[in-house]
Amino acid sequence: MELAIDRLTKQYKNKIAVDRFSINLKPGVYGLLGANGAGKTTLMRMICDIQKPTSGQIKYNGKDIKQLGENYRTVLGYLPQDFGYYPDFTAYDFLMYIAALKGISKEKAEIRANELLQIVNLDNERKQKIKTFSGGMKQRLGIAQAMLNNPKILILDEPTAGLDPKERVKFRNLISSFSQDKIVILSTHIVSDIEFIADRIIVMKKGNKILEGTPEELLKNLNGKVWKCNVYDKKEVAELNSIYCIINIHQENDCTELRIVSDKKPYLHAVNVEPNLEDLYLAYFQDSEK
Amino acid sequence: MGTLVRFELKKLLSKKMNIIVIIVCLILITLLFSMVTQEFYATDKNGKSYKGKEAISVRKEQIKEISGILTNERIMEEIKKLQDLRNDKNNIITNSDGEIDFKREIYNEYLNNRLNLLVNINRVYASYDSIYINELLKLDLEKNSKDFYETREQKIEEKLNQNYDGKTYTSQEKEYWKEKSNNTKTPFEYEFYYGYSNLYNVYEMLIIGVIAICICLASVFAGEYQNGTDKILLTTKYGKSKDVIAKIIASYIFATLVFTIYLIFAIGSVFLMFGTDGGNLPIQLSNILSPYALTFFQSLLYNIAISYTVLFGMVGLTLFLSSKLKNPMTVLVIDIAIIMLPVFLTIKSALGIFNKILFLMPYNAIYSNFAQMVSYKFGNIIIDLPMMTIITYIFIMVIALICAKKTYSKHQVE
Repeated sequence: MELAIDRLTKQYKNKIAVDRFSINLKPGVYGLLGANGAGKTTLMRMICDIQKPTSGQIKYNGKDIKQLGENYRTVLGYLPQDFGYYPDFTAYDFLMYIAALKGISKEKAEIRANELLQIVNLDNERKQKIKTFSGGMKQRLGIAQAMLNNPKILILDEPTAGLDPKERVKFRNLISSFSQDKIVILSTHIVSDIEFIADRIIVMKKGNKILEGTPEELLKNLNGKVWKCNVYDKKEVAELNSIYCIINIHQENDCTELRIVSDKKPYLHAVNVEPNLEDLYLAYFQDSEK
Repeated sequence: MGTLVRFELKKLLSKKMNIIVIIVCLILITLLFSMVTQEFYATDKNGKSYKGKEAISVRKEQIKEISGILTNERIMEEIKKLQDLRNDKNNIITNSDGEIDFKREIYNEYLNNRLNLLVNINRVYASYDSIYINELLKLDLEKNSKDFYETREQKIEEKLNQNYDGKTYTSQEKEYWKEKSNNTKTPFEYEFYYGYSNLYNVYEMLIIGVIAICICLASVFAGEYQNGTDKILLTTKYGKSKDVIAKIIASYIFATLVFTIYLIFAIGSVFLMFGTDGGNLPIQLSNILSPYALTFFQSLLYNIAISYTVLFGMVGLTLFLSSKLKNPMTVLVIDIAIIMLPVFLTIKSALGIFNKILFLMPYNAIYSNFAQMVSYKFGNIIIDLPMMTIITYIFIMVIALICAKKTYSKHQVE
């Protein structure tokens, strides 16, 4: 199974949201990282065939997804970033409706809906109207609907938004167990979500793919470049902040603990520490904001 | 497909707003159509006035007295009797405007039960559409010895030969209407038909039902865009295919069900009081110059068919607008403008493109009185207004639905 994205571009009047994006996706979990406006959502929508690319092509197993039509959507599961529900539908009704849209038989849909309601911990609320649900409950229902057809390609746009830490852990486990022989693409701002479950990470910036690789491969670039130091003088803190990419500032009594990304040692007492994905993300995107 | 249609119907029926709109309009329609009964008046021979159901009973009895076949002789007798009464100075008074009129007692004893009949006969002799009996009062019966029904045909021909603001009927149209009129069976039979005529006085108010249904359906596609549910639906297997069909089918089931309820309440509330008498009578009792060979019952069936096609056309148009526009409110504004625009525009005659288009606008088209000779010429084919209404709205429905399906399937989320 392969999902090939070839020079995919989306242009809105004067703005290019996705710029000649190419990648070949094989089964695995792909974490899509990028700041707001990096083009993640547009890219996901084009993969889901609900936004028309300005140019470029997406092929599933060698065939254009436009031509595949229903056959492509059969293998697709999508959780959009912002989406609506039918407030007067119950959680169960909603899943049964989406199951019907996905062409799942009633018998199979009943089994699958019940199974997923249990997994996303909404079993007790199955007969409750969605309008009574909290944001997190709606998000969990959204995850359930995306997985109803046991999709071969699962696209999740900000799936952990609104979930509490316990639910996030549960979600990560769910994706890990689900992802075998499937292509899962998920975008998030919460780097730790990706860190735990993504096999490969794609970093997007201004519509371009700027990095791609396993977490280890990407972090290798930062080896020896992440520093930690304690600074007592406020003036020095300000000075360092203006020169270097500061990942974290932690104040404790008179001491300020800084985490810095820099090719050279930024401070006399700075020590090298092991990089993580948050360092990578912030190094790339804090830089762009400065 | 069945499951999808059920869910789409559930969406429509579970919206509180839709339920409120349907119920409010049902109450409004029932009130408007009941008012016909409540505001019906009759006066008996003693001058006692009645209102509502009692008045209907009184009028029924009064009509019984004059019912029968309207032969030429009978009509001439009626005119002569009217003139004799008028010529007797004991029967007339000069009213406050200085005009001569019958005394109250003459109205009560003679005119009350036959005024509608005489006003209708008067149309055959009047130069313009007359609403009273003045032409009959001055008609020279000796000079006008021609058969009443022949005179009627002549009057229809006269109308066909008239010049309306520089516009005239083509010879082909004239032939069409003459032939149509020749098919009416004469002499006409006269009996109680007030259930039908009073129903027709308010029938066009069913447009409220069409508006209510359009309000409910404005969100079928646009609501998905507005709520953001389109992002999920369009990525599912049947989201761009079967679901569009399911939405359309559900909308039509919904529209048919709701409109049928409105029709039952509207027609029921009139017939419940007036009864269904007169269904077998010719519609010419309402307008003697009507060229259509139809009974009241047939005209009602025809009008029901017209109402449904107008509804279906408007539903199609609403669904297309809903698929095209992002906001159900915009859909509604356009819908209501299309439906209500003709209320503010006057139709001057049966001729001219502008007038002919106005006749086909929803507010005018939902009810046909089968009295006007409005025809549409396409090469050698001539189509009358009721049939043209049906053809037009079926055409609108088909085109609008094809466009709606295409638009929604190709919709790009934002």
